[in-house]
Amino acid sequence: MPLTRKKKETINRVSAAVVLIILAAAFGFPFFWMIITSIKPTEEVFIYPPKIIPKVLHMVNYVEAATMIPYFRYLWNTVYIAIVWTSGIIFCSTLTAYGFSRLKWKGRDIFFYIMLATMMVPFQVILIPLFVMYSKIHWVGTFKPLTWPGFLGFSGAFYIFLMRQFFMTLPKDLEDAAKIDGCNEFQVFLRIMLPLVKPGLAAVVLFCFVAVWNDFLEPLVYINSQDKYTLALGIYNFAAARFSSWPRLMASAIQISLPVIIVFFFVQKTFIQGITLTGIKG
Amino acid sequence: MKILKIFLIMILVFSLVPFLVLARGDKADKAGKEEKAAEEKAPEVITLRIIWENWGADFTKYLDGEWTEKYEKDHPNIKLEWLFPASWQEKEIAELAGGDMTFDVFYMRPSFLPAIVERGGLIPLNDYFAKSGVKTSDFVDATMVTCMVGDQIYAIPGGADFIGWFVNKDMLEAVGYDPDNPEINSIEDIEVINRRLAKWDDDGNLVQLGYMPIDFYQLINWGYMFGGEWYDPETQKVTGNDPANVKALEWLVEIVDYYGYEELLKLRGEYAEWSGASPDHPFILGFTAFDSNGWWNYEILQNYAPDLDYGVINFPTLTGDPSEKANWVVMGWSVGIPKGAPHPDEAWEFLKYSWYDFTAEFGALTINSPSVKKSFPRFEQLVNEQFGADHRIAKLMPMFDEMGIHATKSMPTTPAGEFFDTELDRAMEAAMSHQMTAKEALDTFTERVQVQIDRAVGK
Amino acid sequence: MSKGERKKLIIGLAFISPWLLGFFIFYIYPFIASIYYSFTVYHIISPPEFIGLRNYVDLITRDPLFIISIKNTLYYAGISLPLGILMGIIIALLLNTRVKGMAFYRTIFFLPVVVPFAAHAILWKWILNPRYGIINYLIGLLGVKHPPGWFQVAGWAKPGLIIMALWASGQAIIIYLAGMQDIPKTLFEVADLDGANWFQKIKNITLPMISNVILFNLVMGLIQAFQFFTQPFIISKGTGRPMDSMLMYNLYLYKQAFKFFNMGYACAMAWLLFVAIILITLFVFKTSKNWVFYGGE
Repeated sequence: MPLTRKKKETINRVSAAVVLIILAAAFGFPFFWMIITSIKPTEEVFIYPPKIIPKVLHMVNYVEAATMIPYFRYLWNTVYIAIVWTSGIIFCSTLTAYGFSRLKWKGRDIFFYIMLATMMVPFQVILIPLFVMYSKIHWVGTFKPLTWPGFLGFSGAFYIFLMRQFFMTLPKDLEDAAKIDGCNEFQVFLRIMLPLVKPGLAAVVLFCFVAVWNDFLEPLVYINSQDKYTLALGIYNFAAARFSSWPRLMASAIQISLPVIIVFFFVQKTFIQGITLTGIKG
Repeated sequence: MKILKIFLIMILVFSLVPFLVLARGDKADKAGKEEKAAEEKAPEVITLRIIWENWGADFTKYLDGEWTEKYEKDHPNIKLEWLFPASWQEKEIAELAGGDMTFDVFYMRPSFLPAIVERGGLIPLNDYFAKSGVKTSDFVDATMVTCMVGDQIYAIPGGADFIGWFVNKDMLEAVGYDPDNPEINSIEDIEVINRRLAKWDDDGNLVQLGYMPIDFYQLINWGYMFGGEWYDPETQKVTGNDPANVKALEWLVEIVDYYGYEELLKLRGEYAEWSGASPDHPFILGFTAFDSNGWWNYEILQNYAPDLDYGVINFPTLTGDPSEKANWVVMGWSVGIPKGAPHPDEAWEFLKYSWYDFTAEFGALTINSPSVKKSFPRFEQLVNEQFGADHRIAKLMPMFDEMGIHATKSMPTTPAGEFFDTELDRAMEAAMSHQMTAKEALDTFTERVQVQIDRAVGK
Repeated sequence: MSKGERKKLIIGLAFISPWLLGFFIFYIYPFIASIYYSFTVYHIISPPEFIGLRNYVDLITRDPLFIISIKNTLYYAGISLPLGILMGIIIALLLNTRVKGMAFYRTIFFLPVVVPFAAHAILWKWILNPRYGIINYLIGLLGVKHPPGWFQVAGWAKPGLIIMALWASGQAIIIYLAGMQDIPKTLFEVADLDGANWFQKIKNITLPMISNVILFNLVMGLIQAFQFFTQPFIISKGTGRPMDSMLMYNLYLYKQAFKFFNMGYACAMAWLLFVAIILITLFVFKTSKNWVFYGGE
């Protein structure tokens, strides 16, 4: 008996939902296991077969993880760097991306490709020349090398690229209308275009925060005192040290992930909506 | 257009600032130095800044805690500031490259020191040694050697890592050994007990073993034991493929073959390296009966395996003959003063205080072993006081000092630096996984390290 | 140049001036310096000595680790990229069926992206622990007698890294989804009238319509895969072991620069990588004309 279109669609939908649930379970499982491990006593993780539900909640792991490294101090350092750097990237990437997308001028594409190429040079080799430069101006040991270069788009090629894609999708009539009203390019950019790429900005904020949270090579080289460490450096230190207990490490991993996850929940509505509306077109 | 003009002018001004700053860099440098100098003339507080290996908070708390308090109490005008980066080598190299040195004290491992000395990174300490009456012969030879390049002294030996064999008494007893005096003295003894201890489960997974020989410290040690040498500083030649070293590696491969290499690796644990005490160390989890480690291991055993009944025996030698104890190899670390350090004199005072005058106190407090020979009795006394004479580790201390008394060999220190260690690890992996024979692996090792050394010394 | 053109040029340059300035300050000097270093023996602390092409010759002719690190990187990129694209498209297709609780699924798939690298690496090191890891336990339940040693043994380390990378591919998923939601509904309606089944619709409508998005993800994925560094660095504690199995190109470059102090050698490696990435990207763009479908052009 041939299935009706409706029935067929229902079957398709149900099977899609089942596959999705399985995949989501697979993606969510590592989080689940991270949390479970983080509330076990150290001895209990070495029991085989592993216990799904711990006998007692060993919440003290979180306290220990937060006191092994000065968590709140590092958190504040990281947040400070993230805020300044992200502001810098937003300042630079919107302006630059606008220049690369909405304006037509000679040589634009050449500059654009040069910008893309900066993404392809391994960071490790420019680290030392940069370090020497920062050392000369006494920036080493401060947060400055990690924050201010953002305003000039340092390691910001990805964000400029991303913002460019957002600007590209906006309709042309908008700026024509504004120009008839007597706005100059900068006013068009500031008053008309910028408000329309809010979703893009949300994406940039999120990715910038993630990037700051990920980066440990730069802070490792530029930061000179323990009380200026970032969370990534803190946990890397913690994990690389000789004493390590899995539950404490998991608790610590959760603690350093949490702030970014919170940022994600704040921007996710704008961010996902934006990506869904405009897309990323090559 | 007005806005655009203002914007352009802003950008222009903005663009000039960094260049001005860059150009002023050198002047600012001088001004800064003068300022610093002026500051120092006044009897104000000086801060000594120290880069140290990150031993983990359980150990570093003694350094930036008690020891710093003690030092600052004795030196009211000096403050200590410690940095424990995850990669101290990278940090020290970057600081030296930057040229604007703000640190006074560098921690170093044997393989690191000659590599940066070769490139002019450390201040020679010969004058300081002479002025303060400190003699190189006061230190354990094996550690002093690693602080010198030719006649020049570049660091003071800090801690000597005297290694003993921690043994799991219950496991020994179960296979018929006297747990308090198991008599494991020679390689033959090791082979015998390995065979008794090795156990596999029904699926063929290794679940228990004796001696686990998979880190490069073991190979260096056994190379010396078999009568080999690793490096000749006179000719700057690597002698990694010395027939004795090859024989040592062949013997280690035999042991590994008996267990199965992959099986061994699976048991190794994520954080367990040769001196790496961690809760997932196979010794703590009861997979291996032995762990070659230093006395600092007691703390982790106490915390994570409180029921493990352990003892310590001497590191076995080739045939068990006491004269072979001279071939024991001592690892350790040293402390030096980087070129351009702002306070070299104060830094030397700190070095002398911590690792000469009061090295016994430093060792006992920070769970290290001192390198100054005459400090051993005082050190043992302090450990006894600190832990109580009944404490298991206090009773075992003489076992570790035994190595300090007899050992003459040290970790090879070459201008190739860490390249040496890395390549030796690779050679062991190649031989143990049978990609190469022991001879081939060490030949390759020798050739590659030699190239690196020639390059480092500019040949 | 006409007056209008000149004005446009000035305005254009004014807009990109922050980046341009940054480029001159932070990139030009280090780039030139590192190109120069690549022709020298440079030990970081002592001044560089010019040696011509020797670094490049040594790399290509007598460094087995250089070859190994290229093989590792190609292995990783060659498997993780196609798998990532395939998985990303499948998940995005499923999400695009307008199931209930879409926001929830989207969050689940995206969340791994915001877990910082350090935490990410530590988490997977634990999950894939050969003895106590939950994955090996589950594999054991399936009746496998010798579960893999993952990051402890040479043969399983790279598959472990690939699994980690796939877990964190949420960014690509969201971008595919965005591409799919941009496809005009009328196309599917026409296909329905023609009696096309779901597979035909995917093959003939969805895939061509998101091909430009696939290109974007492919190029970004390529650049990231060739510069893969942080996870193998943390997991192997900077060594690339066991048996050089995690010695990715950039990790080897880093070791040469900061562990062995061969900055000149490392710079030569960096510029070879740079040329390789540019060539591969150009190749991808060239061939993309055959499979990327631009709706509006």
